[in-house]
Amino acid sequence: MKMLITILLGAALVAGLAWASPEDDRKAFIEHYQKRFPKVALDDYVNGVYAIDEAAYEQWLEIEEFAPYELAMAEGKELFETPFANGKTYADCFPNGGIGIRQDYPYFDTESGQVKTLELEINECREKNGEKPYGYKKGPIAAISAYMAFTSRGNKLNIVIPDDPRALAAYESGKEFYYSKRGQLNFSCADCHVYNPGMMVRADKLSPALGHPTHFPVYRSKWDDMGTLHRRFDGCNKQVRAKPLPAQGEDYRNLEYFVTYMSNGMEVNGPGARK
Amino acid sequence: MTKQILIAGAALLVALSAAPAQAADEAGYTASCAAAEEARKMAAELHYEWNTVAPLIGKAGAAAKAGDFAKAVKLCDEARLQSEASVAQAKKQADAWRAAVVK
Ligand code: HEC
Repeated sequence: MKMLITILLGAALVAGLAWASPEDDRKAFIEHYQKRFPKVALDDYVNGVYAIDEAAYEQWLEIEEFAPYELAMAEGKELFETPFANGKTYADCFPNGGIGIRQDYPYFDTESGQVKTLELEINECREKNGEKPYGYKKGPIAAISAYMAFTSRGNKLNIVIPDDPRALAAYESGKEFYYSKRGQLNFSCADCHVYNPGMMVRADKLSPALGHPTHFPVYRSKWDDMGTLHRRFDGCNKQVRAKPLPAQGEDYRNLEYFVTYMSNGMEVNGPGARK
Repeated sequence: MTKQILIAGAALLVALSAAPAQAADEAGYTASCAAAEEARKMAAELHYEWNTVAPLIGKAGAAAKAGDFAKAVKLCDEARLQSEASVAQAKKQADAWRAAVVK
C-alpha cells in the first residue's frame, strides 16, 4: 500500500513537472535571466545581445540611427498598399487592416488547429487573392513583415494559448524543440541562449532568448539583407550542424509560438538591426 | 616466345581477376550506400538529420563515379554512422529535454 502511494505520488510529480503551465514557464524564464543579469532591466531585453553588451550597445545605437532596414520598410509599405490583380489588398485579410497587429502573432487558430504566424498569413492572403506565395526567409515577405512590425512598435506581445488541448500541445512541442539537443555538435537552443548568454561563439556574443522575437524581421549586417525569424532559426540549426527544417513548417511555427510566449508582455520594436 | 605467352597469360589472369574484384567493390559500395541512405531517411523522419550527412553521401557518389569504390564505401559508412548517432540523439532527447527546462 505504502509503495502504491509512493508510486502514485511519483507519477503525479512527474506529470506536474511535465505540465508546468505556460505561465509558470514564462515566470521561471524571466527569473532565470534576472538572476543571471541582475543589472539589466526587463524592458531592455527587447534589444537582444545589446542589452547585455554595453560596448556594442553604443555602436548599435549609431547603426539604428541610419537604420539599414529603412529601405526594406519603405518597400514593404508599398507592397502592402499596392492592390492585388483582383483589386483587394493585404488590409482586407487582417484585423484592423493589418496595422498595429504584430503583437498578436503567432496565435493558435482553433479552426485549422495550427499555429498561425504573420508570414504564413501574408502568404495565405496572397494565395486567397490569386497571387503566388513568397519565399519565407527573405525578400518581399521580410519587407512586408518589417512594415507591419513597424506599425506595431510599442504594442506589447500578447500571445494567447486558448483553452484547447491542441494549442497546449503546439506550445509543448515548441518547448521540446527549444530544449532538445540537435545536430552533430549536440546543442539545444537553450544551451546557447538560456544557459550561456554573454558567452562568445566565434566572433558573436550570445544573446538572451528573452526578447528574441520582439524585433523581427531583422536587418543583419552579415547577411547584408533582411531576414525573418525563421531564417534565423535556419541559421542557428545549421550552426550546430543540424539540417534546418522548412521555414513555416509545423516545427518552426510551434517553436515560434513557444519562444514568443516567453516574451509575452514585452514591446514590439521591430524591425531591428543586428551585426 | 614462351616469355611472351607467359606475359600475355599473366595479363589475362590480372584482367580476369580484376573484373570480379571490381564487381565486388561495386557491390560493397551499393550495399554500404543503401544502408547509409536508409539511416539518413530514418533520421529525417524524426526531423533530426545532421547537415553533414547529405554532403558525405554526395561525395561518395562522386567517388564511385570516378571508380574509387573503396573511398565511396568509407564515406557512406561514415554517413551511416552519423545518421545512426542522430537517431540515437533524437531518442535520447525525446525524454532528456525535460530535465533542461528552466524551473
Ligand atoms: C551554438 C550556439 C547557438 C545555438 C545552439 C543556437 N543559437 Fe541562436 N544564435 C547564436 C548566435 C551566435 C547568434 C548571433 C548573436 C546573438 O544575437 O545571439 C544567434 C542569434 C539568434 C537569434 C537572433 C537574436 C537577435 O537579437 O536578433 C535568435 C532569434 C536565435 N538565435 C534563436 C535560436 C533558436 C530558436 C535556436 C534553436 C533552434 C538557437 N538560436 C540555437 C548561437 C546559437
